Amino acid sequence: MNRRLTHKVLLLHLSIVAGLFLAQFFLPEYHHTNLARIMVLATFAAGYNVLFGYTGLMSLGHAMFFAAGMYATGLSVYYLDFGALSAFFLGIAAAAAVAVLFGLFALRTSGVSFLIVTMMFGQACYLTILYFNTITLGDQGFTLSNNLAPLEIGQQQFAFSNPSVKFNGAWILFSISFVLSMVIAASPLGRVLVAIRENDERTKLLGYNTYLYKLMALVVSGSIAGAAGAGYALLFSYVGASFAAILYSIYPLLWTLLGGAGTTLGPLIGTGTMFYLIDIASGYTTAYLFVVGGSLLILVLWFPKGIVGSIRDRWIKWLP
Amino acid sequence: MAAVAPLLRTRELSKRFDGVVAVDSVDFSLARNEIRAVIGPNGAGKTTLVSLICGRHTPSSGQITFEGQDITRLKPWTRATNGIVYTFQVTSIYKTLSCYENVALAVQKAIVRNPWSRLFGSESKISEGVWTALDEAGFSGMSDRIAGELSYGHQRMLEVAMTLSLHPKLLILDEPTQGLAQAEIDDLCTRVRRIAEKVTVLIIEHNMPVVLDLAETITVMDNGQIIAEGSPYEIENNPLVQEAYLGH
Ligand SMILES: Nc1ncnc2c1ncn2[C@@H]1O[C@H](COP(=O)(O)OP(=O)(O)OP(=O)(O)O)[C@@H](O)[C@H]1O
Ligand SMILES: [Mg+2]
Repeated sequence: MNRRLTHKVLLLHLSIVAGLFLAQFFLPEYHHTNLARIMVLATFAAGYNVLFGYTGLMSLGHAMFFAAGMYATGLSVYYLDFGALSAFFLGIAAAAAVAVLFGLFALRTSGVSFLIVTMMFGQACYLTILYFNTITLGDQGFTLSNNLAPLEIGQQQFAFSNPSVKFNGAWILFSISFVLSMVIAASPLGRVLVAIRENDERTKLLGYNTYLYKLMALVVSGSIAGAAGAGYALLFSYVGASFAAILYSIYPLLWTLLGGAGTTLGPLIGTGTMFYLIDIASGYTTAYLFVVGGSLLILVLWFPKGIVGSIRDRWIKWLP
Repeated sequence: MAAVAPLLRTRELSKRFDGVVAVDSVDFSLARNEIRAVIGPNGAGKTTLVSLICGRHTPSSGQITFEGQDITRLKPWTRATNGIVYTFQVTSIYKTLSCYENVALAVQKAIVRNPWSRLFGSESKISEGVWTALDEAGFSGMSDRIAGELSYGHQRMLEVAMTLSLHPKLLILDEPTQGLAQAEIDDLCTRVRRIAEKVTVLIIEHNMPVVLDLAETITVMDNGQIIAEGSPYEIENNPLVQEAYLGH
């Protein structure tokens, strides 16, 4: 099957974008808030998926890109009174810069060594944030609600404390990352990324500079993760070092695996499923991390392709 | 003849794998548009030699020139882009992808020039090239088949189709007939002869009828060195060659 941008594919993706938008008019308040959060985290997963799902590079350090976006945005609002939009774009730029620097080092390695290097860099970022505690307010975190001016577009003012602004902000963020994933998956670029995942040496000898392609994938991946971090800071008004910790590098891996690595829909489905799994489990036990570990185990053993990956294998072969 | 610059030349080219000298100070050259066969016993260093030429391995010492240019330090992708294309001894294709996608990767590389189109260009121009290549290779109607599920012979031919879609100047075939049925071997020979009208072909082969059928000149390797080079008749009657084969 060649997975290109057909009308079917386009229609499916636009329906999902439209469906998510409409959901805000029907969902009860509790799930309304949850879905906003899920969409921001799914954006993080969508970014992760570009590197892991399509290019085949497993990272355990993606929290550093999320945190780079979150802190660049948060600190510029907190100390420099940046507006929401300029802070947001600064967040993306910071994550992209971290990705380029990191890629120049880490992409010399592959496989398990790459995994270890990502983990080490991720931990280094986390410790750096804690080390500069006086500036970053890392261990206790800080809120933006007193510093962040409402977003003004034309005559309209959008206050981030308004649930509807949160939801639609999250919706825009996710929709862009989702459509971008679809475009990449269907593009000549996506084809080469998948080729690298499937057979790196063959791809090199076909004449592709695989190093450069991996760097591109890493920067796109890191930038999307950074956008999610920046969006999280603005929409949920909180910045803290816990988002740079290893758990936030494991989460996007889990969400992507659960939903289906290398599928455009996987990150959303995986993030949503895991979110509600934990939500339900924490009603019964405080040890909800067991749920995280348990689901990872079940996944690896029985559903290596995740939810959407299995659906694609069995029924809907044209899913990108 | 001697005045014509060779397409490819190696000078004192060596490759050591901790302890083993796989290629030992080899001076080798190829003229444009010839079909050259390289033969030699197992472990002679044939695959290593062509791997140095296409950039899979970096040489321990020595020099490689292609079209008069020093390519010793060039990356494998640059060499492929310049026209040196390799088909693996152990077939290397994208086993989980369709035949269409396999060939599309080569076609896309060969025909899309504009940097933006290389990343986000449209599929229509690429797919035209893919259909042509699939037809020529005898894969009509198989475009959606997963490459890893094809017969071994078809997988080999798919790899050949991919490499041809790159429009190489030098095509390196590493034991292409290994594991093929006789009918498939005949097909392959016909194709190689047709390719060779425009392309220089370097073929490593154990199957002597194929070698004699295709090559005008044969190079014999043993222990990492070239021990003989000449017409099929000269090679057959060379005592060193007989010794190398009998000795193993
Ligand atoms: N990647 C490698 N690492 C270590 N040793 C290697 C490597 N590749 C080849 N060798 C060694 O180099 C020597 C030459 O191997 P090569 O594969 O080039 O031989 P060949 O002529 O292609 O043999 P065959 O006809 O079996 O394909 C052998 O002794 C082999 O064991
Ligand atoms: Mg060999």
